[in-house]
Amino acid sequence: MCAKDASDNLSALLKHGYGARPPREEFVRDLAERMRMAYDEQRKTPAAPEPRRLSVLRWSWVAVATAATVVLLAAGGITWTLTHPAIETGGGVTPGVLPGPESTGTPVPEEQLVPLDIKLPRAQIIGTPKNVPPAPTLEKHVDKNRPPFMVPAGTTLLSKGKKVTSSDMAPIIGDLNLITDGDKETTDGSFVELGFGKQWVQIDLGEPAALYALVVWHFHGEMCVYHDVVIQVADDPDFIENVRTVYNNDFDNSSGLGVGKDLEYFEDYRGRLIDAKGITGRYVRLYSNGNTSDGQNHYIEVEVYGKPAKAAPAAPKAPAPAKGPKGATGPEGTTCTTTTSAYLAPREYTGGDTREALVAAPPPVYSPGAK
Amino acid sequence: MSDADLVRAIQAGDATALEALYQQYLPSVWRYAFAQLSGNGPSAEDVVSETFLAAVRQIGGLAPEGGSVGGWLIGIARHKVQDIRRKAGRMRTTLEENFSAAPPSKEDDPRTLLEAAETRQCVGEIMDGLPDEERTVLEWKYLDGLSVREIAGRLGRSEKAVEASLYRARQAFRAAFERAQRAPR
Repeated sequence: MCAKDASDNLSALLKHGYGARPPREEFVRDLAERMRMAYDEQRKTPAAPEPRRLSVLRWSWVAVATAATVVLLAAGGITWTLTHPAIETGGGVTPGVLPGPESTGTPVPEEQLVPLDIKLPRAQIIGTPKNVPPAPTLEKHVDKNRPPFMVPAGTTLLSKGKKVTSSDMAPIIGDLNLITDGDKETTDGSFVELGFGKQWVQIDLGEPAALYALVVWHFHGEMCVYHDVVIQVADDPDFIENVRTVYNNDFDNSSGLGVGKDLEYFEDYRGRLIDAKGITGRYVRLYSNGNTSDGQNHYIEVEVYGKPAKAAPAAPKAPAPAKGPKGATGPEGTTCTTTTSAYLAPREYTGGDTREALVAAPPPVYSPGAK
Repeated sequence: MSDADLVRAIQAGDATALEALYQQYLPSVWRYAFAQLSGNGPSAEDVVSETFLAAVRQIGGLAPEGGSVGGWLIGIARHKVQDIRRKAGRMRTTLEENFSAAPPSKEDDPRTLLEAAETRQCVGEIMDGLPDEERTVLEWKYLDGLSVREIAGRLGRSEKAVEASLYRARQAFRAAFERAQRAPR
């Protein structure tokens, strides 16, 4: 119980209860000096870009992209699928053929497929988001469970506890190791907040692995949209060798990594499930470029599922860089895919990966050639 | 100079504005960290350092009119405190810690020391639960001895608005304190 009757004298109570002894003078001077140095250093680097919103400018990009699609299609220069398999069917490995629009159709050995067991955190927000207007580049949010995502038997969580590095090695909030600690809740001490503008985090899996699925939880305590979510896999930590893009929703190339065909999406407790299509790599890098709430970048958890490369069946080589709109290919060896069909109409996300749904689904069996 | 003016000046490259912001909010951030960490000076210094250095890195993207700068800084400090607690493997501040961290009193009576520790913990929790502006005006008024006019200048608000904010803060503090007195521990 607090001291009785003390509330009668607010000033005394605050001084007694909250009036800390002052900080050491030496500490105050030292910190002021460190701040000045940090500020000077900051001034030397280019200013962070303004937090972006879905805007008229972005809509104009949609128009440009759509026009480019029509031209390219007329020329017969590209092939594409209107809907991504992972969104349409829940995704995962298609029996007999490694899936995805970038697949080379490499036959894989007959192997049992099992639903991927993804442990979900508590739902923080349910309902239709109101603060971000709909856009052709933004996936409609649907509160439905994801269908089971099928992966080869023996697929495991490879990223748990693995080393994480970042473009921002001194996060504003939290530590980078929170990204692979298995905690997906939104509570304090569960997420890391990186600085403004384009930032990346990178997971070193420790050895090359065949990757089948990635699940990303940015901050899902509020219904926001993270911009320019680009996920790449490479064989080296500097992302020079054999860089492949498995997800890219930067539709205006504002992050300079190439134009992506994937849609922006609302964060929620289910995280974003991404089909990695069995590609092989050791390093996974995830970019983002602010969000619709505050322009900063947050990660609660990233999960990478796969098998060590020596244990996995032959995976497709990196696809040849697709030919995209002029200037679309980004730096760092990005293989930018070019389809702009995704911009034509918003697609419904029918995803969901509750454990109940996974348990209910019978494990199918690989049978090459079957659909 | 109001908070918004300070932020604009810092973003424009004015280092003296950064110094002013530091001097203005150091006491609040320090008090917050010190109270939350049960009077652990070295940990409070870590929190305060990391908070202000993070603020320097992020202030370029801060909207000047976007809200309370004090609230923003305390928000960063709150997470830094959580980081420290998590690293130390303790998720709650215990009364024992607060008790042991209590400064020596004139009366070394254990009962007096215990009451003082209870009061510190109670007041710290109440202050942490107040809205940013209400906590800030209470501190500036009763701990830093600023006048209403000075507080209004810092916040970029009218004196009437600050008086209203002070009134709400006092009411909220007293109500919370009385609830805490009644609640069994």
